[in-house]
Amino acid sequence: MIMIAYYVITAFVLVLFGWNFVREKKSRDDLVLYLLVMIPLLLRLLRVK
Amino acid sequence: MKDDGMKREFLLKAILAGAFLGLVLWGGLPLFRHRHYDVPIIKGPGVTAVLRLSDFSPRLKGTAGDTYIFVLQGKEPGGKALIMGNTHSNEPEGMLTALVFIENAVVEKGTIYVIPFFNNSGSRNTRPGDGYPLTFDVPTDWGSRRFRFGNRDASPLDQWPDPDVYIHYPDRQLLSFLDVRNTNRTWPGRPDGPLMERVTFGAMELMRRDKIDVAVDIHGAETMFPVTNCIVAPEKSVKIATLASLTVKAMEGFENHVEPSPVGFRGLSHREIGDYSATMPFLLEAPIPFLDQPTGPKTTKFLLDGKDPFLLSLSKKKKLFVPYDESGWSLEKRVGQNLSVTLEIFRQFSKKTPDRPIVLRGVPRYADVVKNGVGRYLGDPAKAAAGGVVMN
Repeated sequence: MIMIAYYVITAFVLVLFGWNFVREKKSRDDLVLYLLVMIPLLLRLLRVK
Repeated sequence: MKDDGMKREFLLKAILAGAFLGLVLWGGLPLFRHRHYDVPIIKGPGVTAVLRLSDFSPRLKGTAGDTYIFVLQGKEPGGKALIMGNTHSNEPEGMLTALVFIENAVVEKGTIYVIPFFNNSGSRNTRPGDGYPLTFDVPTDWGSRRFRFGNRDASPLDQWPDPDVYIHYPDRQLLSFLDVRNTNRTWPGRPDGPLMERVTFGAMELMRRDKIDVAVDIHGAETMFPVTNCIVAPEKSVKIATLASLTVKAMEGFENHVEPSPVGFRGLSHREIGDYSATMPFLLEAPIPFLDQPTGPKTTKFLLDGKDPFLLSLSKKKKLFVPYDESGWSLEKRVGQNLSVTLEIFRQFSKKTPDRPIVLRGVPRYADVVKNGVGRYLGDPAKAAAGGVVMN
């Protein structure tokens, strides 16, 4: 149950970062940082690592 | 102008997103393949049945904690023994020793149960921060056999989240949070506990229901760790362990000693199996230089030959607990030691309890494996009979 909740939170945070990435207009640094932060979240969501 | 700006932004984001996906694939695919790579195990001439650990711990069914149990039943009745490899999946000599038994042993009296991937989840996990290889190949007479190289603990994908402190069941001793995923801290386990407790509970149930006399849990230990080249045994097993240790040392020429199982340190196989069943536990340790910290790169070659210049330097300064020279500490020596010690434990047990003998043939000893290599005793899955291979 806790594990499922964590996956839901992970997906939610991933969507937030994705949305921020799409909305970001000015800072290239922020774009790169959003993507880097998304890597472990996506790998976890895909049950790779 | 505005359209150009939007196009540039879109192009930049597309390039960055492409690089992101490339990174995810580059990093993730090898891990995905490792997790889903099944090792072929040939059912040797002595295998009479293949069971699942979930047969004894039903709540393991369908989980990564479930694993195969190979049964080698002799024609004549006798004692019963359990061999476990890969309790820690970064100590592959245990798993290879178990495989040599499965693929070669013919039991004449008694029954042997073998679990080659005791922590199946751990064998599908890795420790990237330490630069572990994901797989390793053992050369054979016909080519090579590939195995997963795992981690000490079960994968967080299978058991998560970790507690702040692991409260051992049933003794309530406080252990490291990480030990909740360590199958040598979760004994004796419980049927509805965390996944690794269900794994050890399954093995306990197997031992209790099938009245197993002897359990051998095979490990590897750092050369800088004092508990190595030894048999760890509780009070009830110590006589047989001592006789086995002295015999292999005198007759086969490799170092071995007995370490007493501490009463106050809970969760370990050599303690809990003896306390919660009638089985006599033995935990075997052989030196694996790969696990030491002050070494060079953790390459597959190093895993196999155990040669490292930094350890050699430390050995000259007498910082190691095992004799160590230019020849390293090869996989052959480690597997050979485990085979000889296990066979000797069976022999000493049979001498002590002649009404429950465990007699087998076909398993090589230390000198054979050092001379011929481990691969000599591993078959070619492609040439196995139909239905003769189990993918674990």
